[in-house]
Amino acid sequence: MTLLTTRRMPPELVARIEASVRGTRSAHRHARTRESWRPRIIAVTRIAVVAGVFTLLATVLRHRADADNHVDRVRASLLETVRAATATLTDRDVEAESRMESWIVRASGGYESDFVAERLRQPGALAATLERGSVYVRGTVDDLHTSRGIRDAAAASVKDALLSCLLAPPSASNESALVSRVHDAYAGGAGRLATQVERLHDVQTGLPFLQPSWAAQVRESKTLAELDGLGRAFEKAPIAAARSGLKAALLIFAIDEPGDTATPAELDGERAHDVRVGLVDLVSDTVLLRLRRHVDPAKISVKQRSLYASGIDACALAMDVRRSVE
Amino acid sequence: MLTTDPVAHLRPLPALAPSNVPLADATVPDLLHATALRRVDADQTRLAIALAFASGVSGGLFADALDRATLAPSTWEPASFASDLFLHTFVSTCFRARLHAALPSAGGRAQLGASHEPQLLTNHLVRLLASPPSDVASVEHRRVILAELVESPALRLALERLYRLLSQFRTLLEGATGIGKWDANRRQLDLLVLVKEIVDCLAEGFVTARSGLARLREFGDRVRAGESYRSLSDLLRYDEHLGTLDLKIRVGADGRIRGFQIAAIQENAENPFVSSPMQRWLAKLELFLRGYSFGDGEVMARLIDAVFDGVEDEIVHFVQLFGDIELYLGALGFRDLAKGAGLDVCLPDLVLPQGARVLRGLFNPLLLAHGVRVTPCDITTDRHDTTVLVTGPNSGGKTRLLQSIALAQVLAQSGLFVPAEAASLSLCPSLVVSLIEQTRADQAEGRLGTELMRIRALFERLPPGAMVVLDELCSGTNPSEGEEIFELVVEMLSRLNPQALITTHFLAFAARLEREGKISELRFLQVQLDGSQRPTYQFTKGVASTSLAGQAAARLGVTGEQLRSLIDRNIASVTLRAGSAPA
Repeated sequence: MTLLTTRRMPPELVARIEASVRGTRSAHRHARTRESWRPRIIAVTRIAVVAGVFTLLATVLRHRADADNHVDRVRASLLETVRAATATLTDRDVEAESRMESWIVRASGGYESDFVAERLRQPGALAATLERGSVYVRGTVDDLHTSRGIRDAAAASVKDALLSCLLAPPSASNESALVSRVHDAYAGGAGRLATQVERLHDVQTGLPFLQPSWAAQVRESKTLAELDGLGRAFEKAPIAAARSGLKAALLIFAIDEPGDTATPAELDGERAHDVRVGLVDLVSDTVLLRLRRHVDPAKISVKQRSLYASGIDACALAMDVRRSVE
Repeated sequence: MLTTDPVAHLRPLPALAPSNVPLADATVPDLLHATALRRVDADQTRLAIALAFASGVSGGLFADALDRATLAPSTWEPASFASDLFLHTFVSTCFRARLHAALPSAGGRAQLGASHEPQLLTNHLVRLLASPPSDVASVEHRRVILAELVESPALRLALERLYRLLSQFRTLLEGATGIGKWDANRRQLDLLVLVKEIVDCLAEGFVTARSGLARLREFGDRVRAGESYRSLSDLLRYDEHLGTLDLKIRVGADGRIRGFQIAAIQENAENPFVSSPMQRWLAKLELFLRGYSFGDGEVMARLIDAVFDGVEDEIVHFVQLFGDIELYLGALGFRDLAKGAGLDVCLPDLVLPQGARVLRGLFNPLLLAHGVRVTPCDITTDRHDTTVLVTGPNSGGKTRLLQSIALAQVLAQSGLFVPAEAASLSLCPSLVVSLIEQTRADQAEGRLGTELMRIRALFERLPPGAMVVLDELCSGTNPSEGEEIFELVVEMLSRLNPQALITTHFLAFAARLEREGKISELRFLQVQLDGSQRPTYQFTKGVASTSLAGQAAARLGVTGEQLRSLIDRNIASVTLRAGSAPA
């Protein structure tokens, strides 16, 4: 059978066409040489090549389909993780970081005067306020008046002695008690105490992963490598801290004003300077506390000053703030 | 017309090896024999044609096949006369087909290679002439065909057209001109077009033929009735007409074409080769998977191959037919050549050996071919089975006469025109001609010895009734001894009842034989001289009284006075050179 024939052809012609296609027509029989086998060898080779190409193509397509399915599954899984992480976030929550930045920039401008909200002066009100979810950052006044500066300052800002002493003041205000708390803070004690407080840096780092644009980037990813990269980045990101920070009700910040450069600095860089401390209610967008206090390591004993001046100053400042409210 | 059976006295044919005997095959359009014979090796030729069709390079397929072709049984030995009669020269110069102006082909297609002068298959024609059939019916078969071709110009034109088509087919098949080398399919389709035109010409050109030419019509009709011819026609129509497009052309104000639109497409669905576009594409894919190229050309190549396979067996017959037609057109060309010179040829009456030999207006075709003014002569003897002694002066035309008579016998024996306006000739079982005797480097004997060996060889192979043509027998020794041998030869020849013609300068001896009449059936012809003792190139009965050697010597500058003047001139020349040389 061959497709070169038609039903209208006489049988004799059909037979000859088939013989010609097979390479077995009479002249070929007469001249049976090696040449007459060439078309068959070529045919077998071509069929083998075509079969091989088809097999390879099918394998590749199947592999690609499997890979696509796997990519879809990974993408779906990642999107599900993202969805779960962002499920409880509102648009206001997502915009919280901007609002915090606005408050910080405002506080790092010209100082407006000390202020303590009346509701904070109620007995136990400060402690109750500080029990709420919070975001904390400390930086210099030069850093905190720009977004870029805030980002840099937030990266360097950790849960320090100021935060530790503000949340849980030491039992006494003498130097020994302060040093003890500073020791604890330097050993990570602030983190253990301030579990309800998130670093602004974590909020800023985790926020991009909680925004719709990042979910869109996941959906548009075509390859497993891209998704793996996005997945790893998501895993590394402080998602939980960011989510808590975005939902925080309180912003705690400390802004160091430039110190007196005429006096010598301590070994840890501490020198006498003013520090602005503020508390902002992020729910009502109101300032709860705005104080400016002077810290001076000269009051610290020489023995402790060389190593803990800044920690002792911070803890003393926290104590001072608490006293100012109470 | 053959009045009685002129070859009843012929001895039985010599046994031939089976491989040399052509096979009787009624399907072959054989023009040369009463019983159609297949003379070319069909298998070998078919293979050669198939290879040539595929490759376009065959290097003389037709010539090779015809040179190897077997011939009908013949009792003649070509070696006994062909070279002495310059048969090859005669064929190449006198036997050329002289074709009338080409007519347009039936299909109106350009005639491929029409400007090509057909290449004469000289060797084949020489073989045919040198081995005339011993079957008288075949001789008569050819004479009737020639007579009909002379009688019917239409049939001659048809035969010429057929020859021209076959020549074109041969040229294209053998790839001699390189036509169509760039497109193998186009070349093969052109060949198939020619095959169809040849078959059509065979079937339609010879409808009125009553002679053996009717075989051409029968062959053409038989092929046209077959499936292979229908498939061939369908394929050629498919090549010419796959489908029809109706176009609407939009012409702008300036007369230029601005656009066109296909209004309708209609495929030639009636043609069995036409298939749907999808099937055509799948066919290409199938061929690709089967090891061929992917393309329309490959599909067409397979179809051409299949169609050619169907007609291949018929094409094999073209080769033999080409050679046959060339013989007839050669004979007609010879006739035209003679008529152009004011001479005439004829189909002789064939008579018994006892009948009179009449050759009226006999001329020498070799002289005709070389542009020499030819003087025809009349020769009559009362019977054929005699020995005729021809005497006369040197350069009187004796040798030319023997050539003419022998060539006339060759042509008559082949059933063709003889170089005479009227003739009565008797067929003979053999021909021995000895007109030239060249000295060879390896010659062992002197002139007399060579002459005697020639006589010995003559008697070794001479059957009864043969024609013997000898020029100047025993001229290589002194006259008295030569005459003795001459007389012996003539006497012995008479026992074989030959048709002998012998020239001699032994005038006294010839006169004595005539006077004594001891040898029966001896006849004498002499060169006729005019009043100035110059030969008229006519022949009368009797023996010449002089060879006029003196006249010939004078004519050729061999007198004493002329030789003396040559000697004086040479001596003077040598003296002059010696005097001018530096001391």
